[in-house]
Amino acid sequence: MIKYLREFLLATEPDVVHLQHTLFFGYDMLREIRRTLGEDVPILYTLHEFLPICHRNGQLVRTTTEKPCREESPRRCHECFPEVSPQAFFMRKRFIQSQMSVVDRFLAPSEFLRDRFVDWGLPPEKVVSEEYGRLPVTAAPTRDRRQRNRLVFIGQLSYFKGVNVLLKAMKRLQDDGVDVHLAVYGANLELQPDEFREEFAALLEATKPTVDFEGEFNHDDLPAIMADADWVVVPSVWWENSPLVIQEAAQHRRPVIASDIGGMAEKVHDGVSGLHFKAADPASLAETIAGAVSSRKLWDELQRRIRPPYAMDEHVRSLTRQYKELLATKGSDDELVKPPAPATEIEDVRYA
Amino acid sequence: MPETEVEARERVEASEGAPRLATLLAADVVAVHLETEEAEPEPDVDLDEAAIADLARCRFENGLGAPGHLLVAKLDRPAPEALRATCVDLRSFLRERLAPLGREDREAATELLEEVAASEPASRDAVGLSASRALAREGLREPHPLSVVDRDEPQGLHFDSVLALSETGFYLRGWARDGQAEPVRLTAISPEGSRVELLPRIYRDPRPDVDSFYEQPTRTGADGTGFLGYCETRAPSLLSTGWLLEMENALGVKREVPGPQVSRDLLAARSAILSDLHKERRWDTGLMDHVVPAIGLIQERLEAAAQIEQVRQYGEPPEAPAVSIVVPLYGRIDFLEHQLAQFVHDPEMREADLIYVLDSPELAPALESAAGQLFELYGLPFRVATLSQNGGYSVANNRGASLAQGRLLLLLNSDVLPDEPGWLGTMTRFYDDHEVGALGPKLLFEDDTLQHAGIRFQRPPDGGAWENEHYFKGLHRDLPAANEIRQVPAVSGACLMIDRELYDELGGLRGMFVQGDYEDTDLCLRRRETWYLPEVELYHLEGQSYALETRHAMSRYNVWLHTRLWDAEIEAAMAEVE
Repeated sequence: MIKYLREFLLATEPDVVHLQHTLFFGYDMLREIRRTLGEDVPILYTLHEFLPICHRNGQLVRTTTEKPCREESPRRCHECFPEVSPQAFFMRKRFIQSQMSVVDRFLAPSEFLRDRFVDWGLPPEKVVSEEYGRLPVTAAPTRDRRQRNRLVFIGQLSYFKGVNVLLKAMKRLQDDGVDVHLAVYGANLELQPDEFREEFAALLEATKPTVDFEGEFNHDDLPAIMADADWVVVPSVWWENSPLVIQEAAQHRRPVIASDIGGMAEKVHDGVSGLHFKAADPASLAETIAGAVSSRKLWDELQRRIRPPYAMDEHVRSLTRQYKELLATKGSDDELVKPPAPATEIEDVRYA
Repeated sequence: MPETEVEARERVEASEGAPRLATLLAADVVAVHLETEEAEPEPDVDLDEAAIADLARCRFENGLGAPGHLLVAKLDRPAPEALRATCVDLRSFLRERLAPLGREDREAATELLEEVAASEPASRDAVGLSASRALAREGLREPHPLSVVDRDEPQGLHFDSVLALSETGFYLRGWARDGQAEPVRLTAISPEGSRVELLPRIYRDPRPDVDSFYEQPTRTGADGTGFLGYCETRAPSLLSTGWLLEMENALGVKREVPGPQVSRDLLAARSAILSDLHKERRWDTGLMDHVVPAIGLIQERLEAAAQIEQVRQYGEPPEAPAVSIVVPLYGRIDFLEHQLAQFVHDPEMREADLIYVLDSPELAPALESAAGQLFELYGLPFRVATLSQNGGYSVANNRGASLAQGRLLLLLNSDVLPDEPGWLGTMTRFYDDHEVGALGPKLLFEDDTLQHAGIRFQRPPDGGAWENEHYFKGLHRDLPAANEIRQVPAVSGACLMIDRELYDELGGLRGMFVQGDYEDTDLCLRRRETWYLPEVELYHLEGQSYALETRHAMSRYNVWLHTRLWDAEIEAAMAEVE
């Protein structure tokens, strides 16, 4: 694999290398890039998740308690994975850090992610915040109704995305006779453990007809889905980085009800552009939803304060500026010859 | 053309009554029996080009005719055809000339053959000589009644195991009891007839299983019914079957039993012998007198077998390196990449002579393919020496040190990673500026607590063995007391700097210890000028290479051996620091 990477690099002669991940290559691909291209080619690396920090697929949720993990250490990682020794975790970290040391700049789509990587040991001066850019879209029309009581969940149907927390909250609301409706869009249920699927199915059964399960959806349908919703709920029980669904909600001008942790708490301002609830707590979520749907004025207020997300054009300008900056510090005389591809051709990113 | 049986018989018959009869004991060893009044007769054999390299003789007073002489000549080459033509086969020789002798003369003849087998120069046909001696033993020995294990039989005898550690070194186990009278002799006899008297110094071991079988008090004295221990035969014993055990009691009653098949697996022998130490509670009593030479012999042989088979250089070696770093790789080779991934940040490492010694030869193909790629990726020059066999920690270090180019040597474990660049230079400067024998840095666990801040020795209040204790183990790395440069009784071999000439002078790490434990303190105690340098900090992610249980079995031996070697010196060293 490394051999082909080398061939590719030599054939391409890039001015700048900008990585999105090292999955399936291994962290040593970073060193291979540096070795092949030399010191004068800037290497950037956008951090999309926490894989380097957390052995549990970067989830940062403890296997022991299923609670979000605030701090990694060889001992704590070993507690999560008793079959892996603390020494092995220590070596893993040092090894990854050694390879990451060849990167000139890390881009962090959220402050939360940036802080976590700096805490973990990346040099702060190397980690720069850079939110994902969004291509312009026309906002879905706002529903013309008295009550703002239609919710939507869009995301993976997995434990970490908190869909069952949301269903439990809906059950409470239904039992309390609150007039509210939720549509659940999402895929990959079949990949989840039995235990999760059984609970999900039971909760769906128990929340009929308050909750409609719509299953997989086509991304083109997003405007229609948004058009039918007042609120977008992001109830993840893990930290998240910068969830795309929050940006999409903002583009369609829907206030978000989000867990009060990590990237969600950062991107949704409680009482300003959305509402927070206590993560993983169905009672807190039910209470927050009940409050949200009871006041149309609140919804109007929140909607008014939603700021448009970071535009793709701006993002591309920022990246270009950063490439040039790094090239300048490398002391290379080469100007960046070609501008990066126009924003409209950049493929949209799928839901993670 | 080989002689037919009829021809052979004719030859024997023809020689009957003749004063001289010869036979070949090995391709280059001839035995001659002469009946003559001469005091020191010559063997009178047709040597052609060959010469006699060694001649042994004994004389039997016949009483009736002329005295008999048995002469055994070791030749400097295989016996020439002319000589072989005058020889009869060994069985006939024994039957005609030696078997008729009295018991004492037959014993003398057996001993003579043993002397020949033991003397220099050794026969080049050791196997043939062994077979002949075994045949002679059976033809000449006085058999005793076989011992039967039965509650009603007062004598009970059993030969449990014979572990061959070398051609002359054996570790024996068994039991012997006598309900009639005290045993006065217990003899193990090799298939070749070498007799080893066990009673004077074999270790007597309680065998409650045997005692309870007999149900009545035995008369073996205060000692245990069992025996085990190390002994040496005077001449090499190569055969796998035919050991015997004889016992004689104070009333002259004798019994014997055949022994078991000989085991020659050195590693199995080592585990078995080490596990016998569980029977012993103290380092300074009898069992160690047997275990130490036995393990020592095994270790010597394993060490000799583990030679450097191949050295590969990756990249351009540094010119005139000050330090050679020797890193044994055992069981796992992934540590190599982990170290390179840290060393690569440190420009000083490019100036060092980095030597990896693979002590797990079965991993050589995997390491070979990995090492090339790793060099390409990290660009840090290093060498890989592969041992022909697993030799253990000390051997791997010594073999690596034999390749060293630097004037200083740094012994480094593969599971040690530096915390920051610059550590090697700091150690080197300190070593050069001070009168130091061995120098060790601060070592840390993965959680930033102290793994090593120098080593002291501690013994239990009852005068048990001295155990190595790491100063401040488990306390935080910033502990002020652990941040003082000072002289210490010893430092860990996980990261130990020493002058290469001094290392060679001391003979390197000693292989008598089993598998990576106590060799380092042994080295430090041989010089007593050991320093601890806390400003250099490395992580030691210890205990990943060996299974804990294996370590446990070995460590008791190492601890005891260490105390046997250094009891007084440790006492003095500890008095100095405390």
